Amino acid sequence: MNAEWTGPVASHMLGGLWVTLRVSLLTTLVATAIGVAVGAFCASTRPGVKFAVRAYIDVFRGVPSLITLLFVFFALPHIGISTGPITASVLGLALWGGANIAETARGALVSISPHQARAARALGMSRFDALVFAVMPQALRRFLPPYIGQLTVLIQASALTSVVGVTDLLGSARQMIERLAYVSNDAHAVEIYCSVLAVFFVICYPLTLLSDHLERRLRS
Amino acid sequence: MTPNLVSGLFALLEGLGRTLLISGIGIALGLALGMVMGAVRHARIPVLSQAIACYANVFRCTPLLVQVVMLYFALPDLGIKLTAFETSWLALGLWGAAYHTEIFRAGFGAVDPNEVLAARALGMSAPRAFLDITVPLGVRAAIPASTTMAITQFRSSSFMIAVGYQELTYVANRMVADTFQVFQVFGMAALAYLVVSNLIAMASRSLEKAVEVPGLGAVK
Repeated sequence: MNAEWTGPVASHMLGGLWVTLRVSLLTTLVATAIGVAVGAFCASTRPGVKFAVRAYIDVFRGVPSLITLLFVFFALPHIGISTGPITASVLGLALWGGANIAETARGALVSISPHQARAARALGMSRFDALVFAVMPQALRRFLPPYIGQLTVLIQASALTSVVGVTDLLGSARQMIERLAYVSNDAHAVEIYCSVLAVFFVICYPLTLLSDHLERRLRS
Repeated sequence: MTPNLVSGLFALLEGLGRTLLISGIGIALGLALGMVMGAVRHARIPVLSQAIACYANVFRCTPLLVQVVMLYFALPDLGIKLTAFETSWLALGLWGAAYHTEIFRAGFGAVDPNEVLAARALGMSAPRAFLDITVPLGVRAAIPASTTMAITQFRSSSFMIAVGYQELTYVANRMVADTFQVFQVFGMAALAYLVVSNLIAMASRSLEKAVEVPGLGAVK
């Protein structure tokens, strides 16, 4: 049993994991900000705002995440903004994830009876205060279970960054397999890709359980 | 410019054709496997049911992209060599089946147990009652959710760029890298994804209407 290849491979892939975690976290933050803001705008009564918000949600939810990622990756330099592949990936994935989260937020917000907002307005709250302090806290319970489910989708989508050349967990795994194939006749591809699957599973499975748990608690 | 435009459109259409091909096979495979595995989960057949739950969790909690890369680059080490085309539809099918399993399990579970009891009281055997009562009603209940998943499978066919299968996203990406016409090319590709997604959704809604059981709207 000769396992001397594992040390350098593991240390290189730890670097990849760090990139994956950073991309996932940044994407989550930006997508959540976009999603909650856009979801709140769905409550707007202005037809122009309503149309723009609806168009954003429908278009970005309707196309593959990889298309929005590649689009941002190529479009940013095209319009004169040069960023690294990581920033472009985060932006592309967040635009896509934001549309999905916005739809969830919208669904949660409209599930709260409009009387709640009207009562808050009658108590003298502004429209903004009524939304943030009366409606949103109640909508949060319905928002959380699907939102956590979407986080696992976003974390998994971070693997797409390897398509534009980011050395994330999957990218680093691939580099190591190529190098092992070059220096020896065994690339250990099965072990290395299984470890990538295991890492994603360890991150996403608890989140799935949490989402299911919150969902069940909501129903009972 | 014009011949370029025509040949470009033709290449994109060819890519769309391949996208439809792998999505079609992948969705059919996912639905078939999902229905069978959902039935096993519903019937709580010991060992098999737990094994399927395990399968569903692993495939849902790991990125499709890693599964695709694994099928294509790691399986040859175990003596299984798949072409990019075979990998594409197999990965879409296996991944989708994990989600369809849970959808059909929930669908079968949503059937009123009294319906099954009544069938049993009329002398139907348990398997007969399952096939003639639970399946027709449960599948109807599962149509909306399994349609959403089928559309997700269709969009995720773009991930097959990772194994070099020349579907729509692969063609668009290549074209942008060559011509730098970011907005036109990705705009066309996005439009194609949107149109097909909406066609699938529309077809599903008319199917739902066509097979609706009068007076049984409560099965949801």
